Amino acid sequence: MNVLNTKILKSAFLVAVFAMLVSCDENEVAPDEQFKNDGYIITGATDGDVSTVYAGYFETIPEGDIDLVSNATAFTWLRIMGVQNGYLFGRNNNNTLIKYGVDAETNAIVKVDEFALNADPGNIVFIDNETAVVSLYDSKDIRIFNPSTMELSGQIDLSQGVSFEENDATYISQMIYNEVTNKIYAIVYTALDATPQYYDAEAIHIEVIDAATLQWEKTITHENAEYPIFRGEDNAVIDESGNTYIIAQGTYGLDNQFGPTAPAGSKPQILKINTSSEFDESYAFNPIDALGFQNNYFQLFTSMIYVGNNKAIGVGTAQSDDPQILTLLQKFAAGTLTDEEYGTLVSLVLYNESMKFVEIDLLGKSVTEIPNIPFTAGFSYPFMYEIDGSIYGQFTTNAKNGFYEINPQTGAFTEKFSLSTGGTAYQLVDLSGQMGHE
Amino acid sequence: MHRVSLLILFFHLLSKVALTQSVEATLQGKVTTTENEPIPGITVLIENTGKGSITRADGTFTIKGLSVGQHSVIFSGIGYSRMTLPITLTAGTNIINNPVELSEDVSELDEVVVSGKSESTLKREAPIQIESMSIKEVNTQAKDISGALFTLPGVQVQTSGSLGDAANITLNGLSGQAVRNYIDGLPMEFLYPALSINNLPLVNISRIDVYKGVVPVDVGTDAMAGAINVISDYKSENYFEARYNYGSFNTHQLGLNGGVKLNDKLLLQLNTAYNYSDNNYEIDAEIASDNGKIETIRAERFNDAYELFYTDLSLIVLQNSFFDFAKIGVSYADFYKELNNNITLDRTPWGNYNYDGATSVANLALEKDILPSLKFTNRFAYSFSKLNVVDTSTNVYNWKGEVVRQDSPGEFNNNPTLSERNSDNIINRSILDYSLSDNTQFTLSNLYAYQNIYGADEMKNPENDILRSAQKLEKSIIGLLYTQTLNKFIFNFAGKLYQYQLQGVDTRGQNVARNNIDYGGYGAIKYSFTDQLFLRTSFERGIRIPNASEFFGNGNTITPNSTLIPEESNNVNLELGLSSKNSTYIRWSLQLNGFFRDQKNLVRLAPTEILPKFINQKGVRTLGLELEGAVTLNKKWSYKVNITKFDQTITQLGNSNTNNDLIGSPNPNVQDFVIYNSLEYKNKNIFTSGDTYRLYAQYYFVDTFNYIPVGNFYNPDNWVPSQHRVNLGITYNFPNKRLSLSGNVYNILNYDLYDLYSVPRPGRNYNIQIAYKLNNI
Repeated sequence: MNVLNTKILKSAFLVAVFAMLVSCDENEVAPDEQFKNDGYIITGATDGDVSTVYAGYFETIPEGDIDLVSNATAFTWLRIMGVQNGYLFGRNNNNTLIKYGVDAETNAIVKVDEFALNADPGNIVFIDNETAVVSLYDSKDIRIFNPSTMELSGQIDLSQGVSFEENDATYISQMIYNEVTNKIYAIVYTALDATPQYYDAEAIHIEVIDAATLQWEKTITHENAEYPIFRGEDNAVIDESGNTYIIAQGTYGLDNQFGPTAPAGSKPQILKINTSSEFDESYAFNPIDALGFQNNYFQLFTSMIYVGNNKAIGVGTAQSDDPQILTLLQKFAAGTLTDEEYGTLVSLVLYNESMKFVEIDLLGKSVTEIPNIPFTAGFSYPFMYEIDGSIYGQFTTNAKNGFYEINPQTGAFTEKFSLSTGGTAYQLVDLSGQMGHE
Repeated sequence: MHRVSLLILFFHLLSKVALTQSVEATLQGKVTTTENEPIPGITVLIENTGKGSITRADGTFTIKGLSVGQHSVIFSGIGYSRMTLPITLTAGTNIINNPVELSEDVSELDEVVVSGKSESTLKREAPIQIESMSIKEVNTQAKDISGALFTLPGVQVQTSGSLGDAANITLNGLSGQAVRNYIDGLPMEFLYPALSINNLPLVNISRIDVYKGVVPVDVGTDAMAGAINVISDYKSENYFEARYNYGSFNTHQLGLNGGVKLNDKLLLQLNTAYNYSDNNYEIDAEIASDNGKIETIRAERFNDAYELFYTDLSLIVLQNSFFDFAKIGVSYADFYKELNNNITLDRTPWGNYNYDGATSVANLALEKDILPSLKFTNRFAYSFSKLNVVDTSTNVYNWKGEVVRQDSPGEFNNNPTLSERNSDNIINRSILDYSLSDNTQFTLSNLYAYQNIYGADEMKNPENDILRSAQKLEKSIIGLLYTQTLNKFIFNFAGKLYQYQLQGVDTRGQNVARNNIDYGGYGAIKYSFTDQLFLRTSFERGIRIPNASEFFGNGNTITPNSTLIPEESNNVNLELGLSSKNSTYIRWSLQLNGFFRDQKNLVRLAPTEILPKFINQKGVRTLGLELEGAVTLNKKWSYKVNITKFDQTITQLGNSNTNNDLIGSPNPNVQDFVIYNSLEYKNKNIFTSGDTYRLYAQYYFVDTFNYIPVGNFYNPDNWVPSQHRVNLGITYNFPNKRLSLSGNVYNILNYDLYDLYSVPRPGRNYNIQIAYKLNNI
């Protein structure tokens, strides 16, 4: 007994000495002490003449008008793609995935680590603390990396998946991790350089990857649907049973086919992947038609976030066509739009207040406006986040821009905050959340 | 039609006035060295009249339209002692029988005259602010023009450091193409792509005039408060000059100039230059390992070589029955350039991208005194240029020069290019100078420019290749200047009419046709309290029409933007000058210049775009101050300091109404605080009687500046660090004045230097030069 106690005491002493030695090293500061692991990051983007992204730290989600610049670190570009253990993972348009931390003393957002890629990173899915995958923008390429050490460790072999040899650009536009099926759904985008405004395939294709082995399993295809991209935040929409819902954007009317008789693939649709990781061929509906604007030439349905009980909140076109946009779109589709008119069209689409936050009944395939919510512009496409049971949605109007707080149970909303400085509100990220795990 | 009527009326009035003038005198003479060598470029001024001239290549000068009576004639020039000569003029032609001999002033061998140098006859008296630099000594220090310009106050030059690359020049806060570059008063666009302000060979150049504030109508076109005019040179004698430079990075620069005096009125001149550099200096660059980890290595640039061949042949006719001066010339420039990186430096260098081209020019310059008080000048040039871009490689390189993988063809944005871009350029400037009296002058100037750009990119589908559609830009700028001298006041008032027509297709393949007329003008006043103290101020509303390369792209890394509109600027300058009286022991001068610029639709390069292009930045305001001091001791020591500080703020934004908080914030990406110091020592008779030598040291400081609007917290990625550059050099002239040797060490302290977009410049580097000249062969 004494011998055992002595060994335990010796061991404890050695551990204590080791711990002291480690703690005496001034350069070694545990990450959770050096960096914040809770609180919120708000980003704002300036565009036009001078492009900058401001990112500021806030202990709690602020209310009212906020001066972002005086709280912010500025970046030439910053898109936060994931959050894990208090670290932000983002890109700065320099073929690099960067891990940022919020300095615990100054609240400045600082680069912690990074690794290089052959192209800009697209999406991240975290499997656990040591394993994550990132897609690349310019090729159908998914890399495996360790988010703790920020080292690349491999590549998922997608060579057996769908390919578009004749097209100039094919890449993974979005990845969705479904914990129920333990699959990663890698959505394939493809286009020709000559027709960049079009999705150059007749159907939607998704590569199914087993999350446990990180091996490609199969390609699933949904006919009569086009342009599978979530605008704004890449939220996974997965119901309690494990069904996954995705958005197909259609062609924005650019194929000159519109109205009730237009092919379904030309217009926005919500599609469903069942728990067998197959498309539910019987499930597809147009949320803008469902909202009552089936005669619109121009239909836009951007982001969507799941809120429970087969309900989601999304953002879509909620008024009849703007005649000027319509005219310009028709010229665009006919290939007669000038550079100047294109600039006008982009400005109108981005800044015209024509969209609304809506509630989508995924079972009933019905869509209703959030009661009394104002129109918002499509700038960078509204981003939505779920934080502590509330939905935060980005809005832009001529008067101001910021985030609404929406109660998904009641549909009640409040204007949570708006930016008085820092450009247009862009992202709202919960540092204690696990963004990228969806 | 309306303009033609105005011109007829103008000439009619001139002829009426000329016929009713009082009896006038003309003064002729010749200026030589003490060794009886003619000196060209000497300023000859009739004191208190504003009248003057510049000596010709044979040292002669003529000043017409003078009143009879007693005058003082002032002779001055860089490197020579100033001389004042009293003279009594009678009606008709007065000839100074003996040549006016000026002695060499060793203290002024490389002096940058503080003010009052231009091709205008109103040099020191000018109410507009001009810096002028003699090239004859600078070309022993600098490898190119940008290496000389940065020594001038208020002038910031940002280059990559690679010989042959373009330079961004900032004058009093105006930068980019807003600072127009001219050669003998003709905009340099017609020399593109082979030649520009930065890679113009340092041969056959007399001096460089830098205009800050107002640009006079006879030089400026649609310049906006800033212009650089390179003045070419000629000599009326048989001569031969050879210069060879060898420097770091395998840099070779050879210049050969020669002239033959066929007879008293006919000169033949040939200039040739050859430049080559590997540009393989070392930089800090990032490299990624297989696991993605990034490390910074010391890398040698590897695809950045530059080669230029240039030659021109001129026939100069002096004082014939038709013209007082005529010059007909042809020139040819051929170049090759590789490109190692885009505007910014990233981890993927370009290992195969290259472009080459050539520019052929035919030009004709004429000068004629139509009447004693009316002078006509015309300069015409036609050029044909071609630019070939080759960017088809599938190799992806790292900064070790290794091919790390294959990708789709084209290193620039993965879009392959195999293009030929041709341009036909016509440019003509006509100037009429009329002296109504000793105190009243008018100048009427018209500049006409036409560019037609066409070609093909073999890598593009013909339907989507905008190069296959001709792009045309036609400009006409008319300016009328009125100059009045009243005792100690000199006034300039000018009006300008700007007109352009644009025809072509945009990036979407749609036809674009636009024409535009606008108006501008300026006023400038100088008041001389004494010979040592003056106050000078100017106001200008300037318009700048975008260049063809801004509208249509440069056929290389800049993409077209036909939606550009002309930029406007309201400019105010206020300058106070103070100088010592002439003294053989100490001379000093001090100038303080305040400037204000209010720019709208500023045309600037947007490098953050995936495809860089020029855009209109809605509104920027600049308020700045520059101080220049110079002191010379005992004609041997000289010290000069220039300090420029300005604030540039955003006043108006473009598309979005959600960025208004940026209004009032500093405009990013400008060097807003710079200091230049130089210390020089000159002497003679060090080894043997008659030799001269010169030592210099330069220190240049650029304060840190940010790329983008910054927040509350410091992010080092957004800032270009402060920079310290120290250069040292020596020049030794042998007693026979034919042979000289020079050596320069640039960035001797090996500080980290950067260009505009933080691309590293070379560390410590060297060059040596040997020059030999034979005059009066």
